[in-house]
Amino acid sequence: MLGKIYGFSTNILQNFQSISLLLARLVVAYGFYDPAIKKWQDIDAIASWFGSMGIPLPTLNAYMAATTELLGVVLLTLGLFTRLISVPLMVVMVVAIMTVHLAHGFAAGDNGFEIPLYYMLFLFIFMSHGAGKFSLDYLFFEKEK
Amino acid sequence: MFSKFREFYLEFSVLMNHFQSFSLLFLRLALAYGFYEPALTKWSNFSATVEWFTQLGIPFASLITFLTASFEIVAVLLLSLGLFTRFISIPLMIVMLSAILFVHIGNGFSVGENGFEIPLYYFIFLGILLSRGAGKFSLDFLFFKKEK
Repeated sequence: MLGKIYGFSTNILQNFQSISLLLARLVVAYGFYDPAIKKWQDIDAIASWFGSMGIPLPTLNAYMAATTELLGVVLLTLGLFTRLISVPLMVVMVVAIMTVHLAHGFAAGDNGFEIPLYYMLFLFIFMSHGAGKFSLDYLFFEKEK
Repeated sequence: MFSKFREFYLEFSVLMNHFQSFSLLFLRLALAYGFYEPALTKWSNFSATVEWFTQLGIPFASLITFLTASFEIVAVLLLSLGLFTRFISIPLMIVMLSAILFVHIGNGFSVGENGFEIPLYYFIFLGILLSRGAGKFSLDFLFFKKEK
């Protein structure tokens, strides 16, 4: 009986897979927008900030992080190369957790690693599930499958 | 050139599909952890929470406090086990939506200003669990999907 109800509701709820991925992509794109713009506005300050945290090759890494984040905003919004762009964005999040947030504990209120962890979870889901139907990926890569 | 890249992307997709259940497991554990503290706080300061809900203009404050605290503590258990994952996601999404509307919406987006950032993330995470289920590493898979 319960198994029947579960199977029945599963069939209905599966229709929301793509819409939940679309929402998630838009929110994460929005989340990367501010940090990306901030990095591009004053890349030298970001480079010296990276240097002060002991990140090697700070200028190169500042440019790489800023480029990845800006690309992330565009590609996640469009749902283009979603699985691929998720990988470097996850790396950016891991570095952010290790260098900035880890010492502050978990809670977002104390500048802990809560938010970058949530972003990693989103990105891991994008990497493993793709962008869903409302995306250019679906148009280019998955439609005829 | 594009067809080569297309082949690569499809290949990559097939490979990454193997991580779907892992991502859902991590998501469930993170959400279970996230609901643990609010649930405990509500239970240990029950009357204070009722008063706070009343101030926020929530009707039937004691009933709603009881329901919210119950759903949150049950969620910690069920999300960890991956049991009835889709079902428990629905009331939790309502709790998150209410938290956004009654508490956070006036403060904007950013978590630094107590905005709706985190409850929004939770709402979307729960939407993903609602539509995808708990993945293979779950009791749901054991009880409901294995024989399919």
